Amino acid sequence: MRKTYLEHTKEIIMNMGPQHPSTHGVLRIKLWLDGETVVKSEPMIGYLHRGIEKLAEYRTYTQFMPITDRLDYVAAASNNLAWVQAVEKLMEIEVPRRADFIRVIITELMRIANHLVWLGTQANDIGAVTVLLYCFREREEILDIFEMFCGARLTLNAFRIGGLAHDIPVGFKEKVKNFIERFPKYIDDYERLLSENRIWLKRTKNVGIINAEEAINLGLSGPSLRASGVKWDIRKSNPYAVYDELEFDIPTGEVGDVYDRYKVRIEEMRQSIRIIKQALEQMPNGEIRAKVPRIIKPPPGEIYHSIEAPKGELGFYIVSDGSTMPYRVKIRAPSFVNLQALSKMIEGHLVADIVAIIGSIDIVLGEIDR
Amino acid sequence: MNIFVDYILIPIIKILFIITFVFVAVLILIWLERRFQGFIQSRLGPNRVGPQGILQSIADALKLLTKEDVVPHQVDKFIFNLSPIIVFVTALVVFAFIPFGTDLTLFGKKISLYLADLNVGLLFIIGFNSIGVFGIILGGWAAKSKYPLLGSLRSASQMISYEVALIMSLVSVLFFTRSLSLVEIVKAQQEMKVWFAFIQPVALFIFFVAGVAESNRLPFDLPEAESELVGGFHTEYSGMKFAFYFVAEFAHILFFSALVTILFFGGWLRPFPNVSWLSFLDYIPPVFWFLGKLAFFVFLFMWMRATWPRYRYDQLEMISWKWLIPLALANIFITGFIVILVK
Amino acid sequence: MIKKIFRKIFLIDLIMGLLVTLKYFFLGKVTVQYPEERLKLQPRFRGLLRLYKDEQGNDLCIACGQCIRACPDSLISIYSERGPDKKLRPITWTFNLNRCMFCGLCVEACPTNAIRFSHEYELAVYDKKKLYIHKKDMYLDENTRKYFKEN
Repeated sequence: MRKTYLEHTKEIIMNMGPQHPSTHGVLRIKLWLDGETVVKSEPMIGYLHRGIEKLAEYRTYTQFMPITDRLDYVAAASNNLAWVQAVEKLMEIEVPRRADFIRVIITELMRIANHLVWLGTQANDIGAVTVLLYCFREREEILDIFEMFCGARLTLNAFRIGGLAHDIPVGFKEKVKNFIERFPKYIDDYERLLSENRIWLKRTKNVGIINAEEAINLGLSGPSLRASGVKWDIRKSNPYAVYDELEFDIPTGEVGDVYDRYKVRIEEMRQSIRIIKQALEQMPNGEIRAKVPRIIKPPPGEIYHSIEAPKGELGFYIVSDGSTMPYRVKIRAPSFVNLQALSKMIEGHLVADIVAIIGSIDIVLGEIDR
Repeated sequence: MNIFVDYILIPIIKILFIITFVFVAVLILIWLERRFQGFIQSRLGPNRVGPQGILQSIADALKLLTKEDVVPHQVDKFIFNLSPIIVFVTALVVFAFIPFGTDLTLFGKKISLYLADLNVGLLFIIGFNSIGVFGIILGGWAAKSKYPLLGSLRSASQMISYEVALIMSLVSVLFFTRSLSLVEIVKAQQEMKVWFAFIQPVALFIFFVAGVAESNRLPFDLPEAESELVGGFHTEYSGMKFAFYFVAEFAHILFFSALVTILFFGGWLRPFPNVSWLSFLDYIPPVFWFLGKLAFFVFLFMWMRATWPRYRYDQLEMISWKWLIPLALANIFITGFIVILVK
Repeated sequence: MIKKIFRKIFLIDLIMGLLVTLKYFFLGKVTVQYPEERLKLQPRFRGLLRLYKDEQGNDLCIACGQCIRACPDSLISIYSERGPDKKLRPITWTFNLNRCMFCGLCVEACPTNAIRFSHEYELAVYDKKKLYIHKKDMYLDENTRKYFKEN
């Protein structure tokens, strides 16, 4: 049976199955291989589908919030923020400034936590096993901050329509300040371990290149798009919350390979620290929740609102018919759209590069399958 | 009576001693690696089973012994059973030629701390190591499925390329010793009063890199990288046969560390033999110097594993063929030139 | 330029990585030995839900049903009756731990602060029926400690 493959030299169809130590979740990729080079590939998803968009039609706006936590379970607060801001935009509620500042702090902390998981898993796939443990050790400190704020470490559910659930406790500001003073040294450690390392450079430079025009055509967003040279960040172009009052830079890359995406995300972590520092200083006193009716009934209409989640552009499209439950919710998940670029990126590369490339576009299957 | 003691009893005791040493050392190494890697990663390694977790390896060995030995039905049974044995036996046999120290005097008899000292010892050792490569190739081939086949092919090509680099780096050492016997090499370092590491640093570097690649350790462990091709050449093995591969890998680490200390770092000689105020160090038996240097190199192996990423296998091959082998050749020429000039 | 060649030959970048890991070899370890030591929880930690009584020992719960309406999955069910003092009191109060998300919407909705989060997180049971917690087990007293260990 095997002889026919060798004689006619057909391409091998190999399956990088749903159970694999390196695809981040249950992702299945069907590969057409010629020797060890990839000729064609086809990602197949759907192994984690939970019907979240359908669940939204039977829950009220407040009840749906804990479910949005479970979309991108690595950075849960961003999903909360997108949903809450979408509903507030629909109902035209003005959120008090103190609540906005605290939301920004939590979201940026979540961005750092997300990039830590990304760095750890990508380094682990390429072989440096200690970086994973170091990143998770730092993430523990961030999760402790979250636990102090709202009681849960991962699925926060701390935002409410009109503001926050509770105010920050005593000691929160000091703890966050303590963290952001120590954190840049840890980033320096990771850079010393990886950025100049010749093995890392050889594995990640010129691997998985995608140029700016192709990236825009495929609909990439987030750090993967910025690494290809396109300067597009929703926090700067359509600012939401108080981002227009804070100063930060947007890191961009040039070539669009795995190394550039790595550099962009590391730099984003540093910029997040800068944002948190400014937000801590500029936070006003005041109330944390606007006057919102008990039962939330937005006027009939539809709205689309998107934010810059750590993985890309996360958008919620809500169609409301005037009752307490939404008529239809559509979630534009960034990983779902970014995954389309995978086929283009791994053409012509070896099997050993596939793992590095999947790690660099930073997908999480909870978002893709919803 | 003398013949019996000299030629039968003492060698048997030495054989038992070597086998026990290798087994115990491997068990301790497995525990040490997990603990050491844990310490580097800001966590404790295994510390529950036994004091500080020493008995963890014994627990693992017991688990592997009692595991069901799953044999897929399409394998070639003879080769499937033979390959772990090849790898394991060759990894053990090479320890017969490694001298652990100078001669001891026990019960009025002079006992040498090695099992046999051929005058082509080095060649024999490297040859046996190459037979070990067979075990890996056959292991992947016997399990007739795609993943192990790919893994064993990559492993075979990797090991063959680095064998060439290994042997070439040794040639430059032999300019100074005129003999392939390991005991003679250490004695030559004693006569020249300088360890070969200081006069042949390039050869040391090439030998070390090739040694790491031969034993399939990070940063060259692509054949068995879990995140790429599930298991590589040992996907289909379970239970005790898998344990054989595993023990053989750690025995390789020990073996290459031992070779590095003997060939380049003086074996059992103590450092600074000329400095007189350090002569109190003479009271330490040479065996301890040997084991100490061995421990240092084992530590270095584990340290490298915890830190660096791994190479892609075509970059691996490029390193060997494009850099190491030309460097080794250049080293041989230059060394030969200098030796002829000096003499 | 010469510095670049120097770095490349002597593997400076690799050695820097080695030094970083060596530094962490000597620094402290973050492991918490689980059954003997426990992590310290913050005050707002979301553990198991519990009903609370006031200082006189009466139930704080007035069976208003706000928590039932707030829960996304409808895990609470109450059957209530008016007591002798014309106040509504719950007779049976069942809570399904099987699917609770620990989201906290019920805690926020309660007007008398009767249902709150405790600090218990070791919630594994051998029998699935024990996950349907009835009223008599919802209070924090000696009877319940044999099911769930408290922090």
